[in-house]
Amino acid sequence: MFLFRSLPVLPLPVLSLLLPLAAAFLPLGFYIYKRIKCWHKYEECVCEINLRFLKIFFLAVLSANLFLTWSVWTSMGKGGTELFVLSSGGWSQTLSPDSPMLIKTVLQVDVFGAMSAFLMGCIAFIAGLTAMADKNDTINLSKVSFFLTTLAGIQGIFYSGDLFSLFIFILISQIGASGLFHGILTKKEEIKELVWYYLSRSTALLMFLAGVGLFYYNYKTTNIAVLSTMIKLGTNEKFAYALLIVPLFFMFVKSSSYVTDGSRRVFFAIRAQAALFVVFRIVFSLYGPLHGLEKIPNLFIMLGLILLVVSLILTANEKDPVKFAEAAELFMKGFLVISMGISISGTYAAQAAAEYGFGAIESMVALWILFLPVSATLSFVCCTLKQKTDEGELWQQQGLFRKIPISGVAFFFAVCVIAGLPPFVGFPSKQFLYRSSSYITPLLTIFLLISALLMLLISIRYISKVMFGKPSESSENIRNDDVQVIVPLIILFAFLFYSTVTPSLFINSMVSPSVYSLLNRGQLVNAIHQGGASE
Amino acid sequence: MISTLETGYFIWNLTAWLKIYLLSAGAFCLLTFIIKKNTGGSLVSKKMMRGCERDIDEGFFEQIVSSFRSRIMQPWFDFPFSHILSIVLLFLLFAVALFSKSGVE
Repeated sequence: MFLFRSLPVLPLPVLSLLLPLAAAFLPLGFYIYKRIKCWHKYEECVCEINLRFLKIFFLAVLSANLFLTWSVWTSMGKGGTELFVLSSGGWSQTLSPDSPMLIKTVLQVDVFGAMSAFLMGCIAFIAGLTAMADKNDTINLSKVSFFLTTLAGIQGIFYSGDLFSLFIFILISQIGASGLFHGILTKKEEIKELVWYYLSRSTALLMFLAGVGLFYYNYKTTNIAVLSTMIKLGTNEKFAYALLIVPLFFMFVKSSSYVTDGSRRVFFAIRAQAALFVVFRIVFSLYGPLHGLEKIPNLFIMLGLILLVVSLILTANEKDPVKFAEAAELFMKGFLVISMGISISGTYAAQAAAEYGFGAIESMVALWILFLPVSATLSFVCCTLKQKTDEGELWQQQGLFRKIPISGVAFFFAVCVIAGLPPFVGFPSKQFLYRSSSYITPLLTIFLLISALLMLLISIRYISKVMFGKPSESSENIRNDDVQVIVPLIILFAFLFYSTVTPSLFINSMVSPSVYSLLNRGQLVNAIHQGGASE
Repeated sequence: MISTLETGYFIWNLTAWLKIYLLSAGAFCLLTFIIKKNTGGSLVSKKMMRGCERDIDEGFFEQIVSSFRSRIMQPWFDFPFSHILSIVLLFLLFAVALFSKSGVE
């Protein structure tokens, strides 16, 4: 009854969080009901539903989610945090100091989280459109359900300011991602095949939970903002650091398996971005510049360099477009991890922060924002190239630009953004990083420049190999084109192009408020004292 | 003619950028012309193309990279427990970075 009474006055972030979660349970519930019914009657289960109804439902949920996340983002102040407290009296924006036991839940949303949720909402909407247009792998109940479960989990990650709730939402998103990867498991053989996959994911989740447990044991709270004001770096906190960061870092780097469905790949990319979001929260908002973490920046820079080298080795002479996209994403991840290492290094002293720290953080957030649209573009293009033809797959033909011109242009644009070629939007973020890395060592800057150039050359060669050249006689008969991904690609292209011609808008409205929000560690405490929103 | 474009964060000197691109394109065209003249109309010499129906023959560096990828990296990626191994390795790296005293003043 209490839940029903609080429904009419639900704050927007809560509604935005509950909508995909509730929507995910509807088709999943229907599917489970059907399976139980079939199992009870010893029949083979055929779960049929009106496809048009399912598509309308999916589109409506994604559109509503997009609108709600946009509303939450635009209603936030620049760099502030808002609290949403559910107590016996309903929802309010203030904590009640005299009756803490009556508080049922607290939701904490900041600009960084709100902006991330909106960005994710946009990309999820685009991926949803592609999934609905896919004629080779028609959308079904379980697919919709897993899409929405992943969406709900990630939405929760962006709106959480608490380590334990982060664990719950990471778990939800893992359930969704596992479902997207292999569907619902029904046979023992399938489970046996995936036992190592599940073991690694369970290990990662348990490690994170152990880290949360360590904090609760020592401080009796798991709220990030409250912890950030109390934390003292001892052995337990160091262990907690490794336990919290390692699983998320792993999920970020190894976000997906080999999947040739563009929309699924996009959801894996969303999940990778969300994993790094949690790493940012822990590194910058929770720990900050504590003494005893001085070697961590070097470790991140080293890991980033390894990722760059591996990605260059994997892209060199790669022919499979999906593997090429994976390697190109790894390249972006390498740059991101290096920028994170330099950012952490720049926050230890005021002089370092003024010289290069702030620039490095801006670079890191800008690279992080661009990761998702670029990764989505690569996924759509490369999965289009994986389409089956009479003679194998589309990418095995030459001169495809005439057949798939939009994919060709989008591919070129994405590659230029990845390599940071001016004047494309990847350039501002990269030039911040080049400037900051020169303060660490000029050798790092030279390495970054050379690897970006190599990536550009390798990618351009790949594009020209596939898109140009003399088409063979057999390629004249190819019917496949990029009609299925035309709308998503145009939307992504518009975003990348718009931010290319107006970098000030991109940096001032998305990057800078997020940086401020990430670094302002005492916001929640201020919000409690001021009785609501804090600027 | 507008020669600069101000976007708030950057001021693009369009004329200068145009010159850079034209110069690069000119150099590229010249290089292509010289190569084509020497190889008789093909970007890659016929000696290198011998035996290749479609793809350009792999260079020495590419062969090394390919063999490194297939012989050294791929077997590790193919291990079923490679994910667990990565997590353990990452944890060890972080543990060393957090607990080792060397290099800290």
